[in-house]
Amino acid sequence: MADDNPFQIELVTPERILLTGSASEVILRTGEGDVTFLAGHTPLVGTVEPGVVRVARPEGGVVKVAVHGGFVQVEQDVPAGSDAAGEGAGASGTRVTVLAGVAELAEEIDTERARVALEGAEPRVAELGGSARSSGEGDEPDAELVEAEAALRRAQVRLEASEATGTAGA
Amino acid sequence: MAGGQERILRRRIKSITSTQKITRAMELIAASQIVRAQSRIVASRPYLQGMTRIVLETALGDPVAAGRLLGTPETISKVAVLSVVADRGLCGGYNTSVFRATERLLAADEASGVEFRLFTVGKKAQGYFRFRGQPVERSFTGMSERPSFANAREVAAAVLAPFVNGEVDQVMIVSTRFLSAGSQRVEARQLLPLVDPRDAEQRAPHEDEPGSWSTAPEDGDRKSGYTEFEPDAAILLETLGPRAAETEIFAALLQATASELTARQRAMAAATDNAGELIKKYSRIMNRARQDTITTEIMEIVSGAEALRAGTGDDQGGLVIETRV
Repeated sequence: MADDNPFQIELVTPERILLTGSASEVILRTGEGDVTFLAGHTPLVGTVEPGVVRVARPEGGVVKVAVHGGFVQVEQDVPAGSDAAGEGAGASGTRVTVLAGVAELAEEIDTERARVALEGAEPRVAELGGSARSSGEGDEPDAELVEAEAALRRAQVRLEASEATGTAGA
Repeated sequence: MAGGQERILRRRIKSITSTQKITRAMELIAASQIVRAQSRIVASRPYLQGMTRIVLETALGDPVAAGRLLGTPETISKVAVLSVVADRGLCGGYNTSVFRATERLLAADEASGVEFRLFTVGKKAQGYFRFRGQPVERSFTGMSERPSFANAREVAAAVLAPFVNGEVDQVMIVSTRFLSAGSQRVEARQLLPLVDPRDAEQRAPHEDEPGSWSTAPEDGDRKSGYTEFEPDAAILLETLGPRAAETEIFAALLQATASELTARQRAMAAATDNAGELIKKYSRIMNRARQDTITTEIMEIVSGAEALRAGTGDDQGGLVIETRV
């Protein structure tokens, strides 16, 4: 499964550092599709689509984070411990930085709330989407619809992240 | 009459004492909040730095597309100005100095024939610019106490849209930088196009200035330019620019909050001290007034007694004054 070679991972939001330390594998969805980062990955800059970011720890176990859009940067030859991360960046010198405006650790997600939000958002999207289509003004993006769709997606991502934790115990 | 003065003074002392209690409470509250505001600045720094790194990296990847997004535009005909102040007063010259800097900027723009659109954060700005008859395109309130990233996004969406649509050539921000607990500075600086982190270092030699582009990690030359971009650097830059500026706005809001609290603490400490001085001064005047009253009363009694004795004709010719009060 995961490579033995650990590298440095940092998942940062404007309010705080959500996750830092070493990882053996990071899976996330960029603007061009799902990507798995391992140690020694080519330097890369990309967008992160809303979704679940999976960070495999070298000591085993996977941390799941719900990320609502952001950016990712992969760097090479980062001097070990150049950041607060310090501890065990590994010898690889690879650093993966994920910047997200909004993100939550799976265990911090209020599943109940997300489910309620999902239930609220679904009919709203259907209703707004339906009316927009019937009025035939599909070109003009309706702010309310966009808002509702974003809410729906946020709820889905949260649920996906938190539910996956429940089953991925093994 | 003298007794009346004493009563007035006593009333005034009482009122100053209760004002002092309020100012002292405000001072303590501000002091306790500064710590939190400062730690939020520190917590926001990794994100800002990461953003700077990514922007730099991407800009190197496609210098042509970066042209509009980085550096100072050559011709400026329209600008958007964002002025950040507090929702509340009672913080010394904090709001005033930002207003002054904003007015200076607007006056300079006007003189050079540049059109400007004004955006503000803080309730105090609404009143100020309305009174001056200066139209404000959009003003935001209710976030100066504890700005969240969502607040920053909201402001950014309004302020950056004209730039993204190409309606303005430059976005400026006037706000107070929190350099340290002892030093804050009002600054007008360019928000968009992004200040190139590479020449920001020469322009602002403040090594440990919290949360600024100039704290960009000095790995500018390390890049060898074989970085992959997903999607293309040019497309990436389009989304990156506003996101980076939004991060800058967030940092500016956090710093403004810390500065506001520091200014308030200082102002309230001065007010508390001043109230103490006043109380001392008025107590002194009041005590003298009371003593004067007593002295006058004694004099009245003495002379009254004297007069009575003189009236009985029992004059012994001497100046024996004997009083029993």
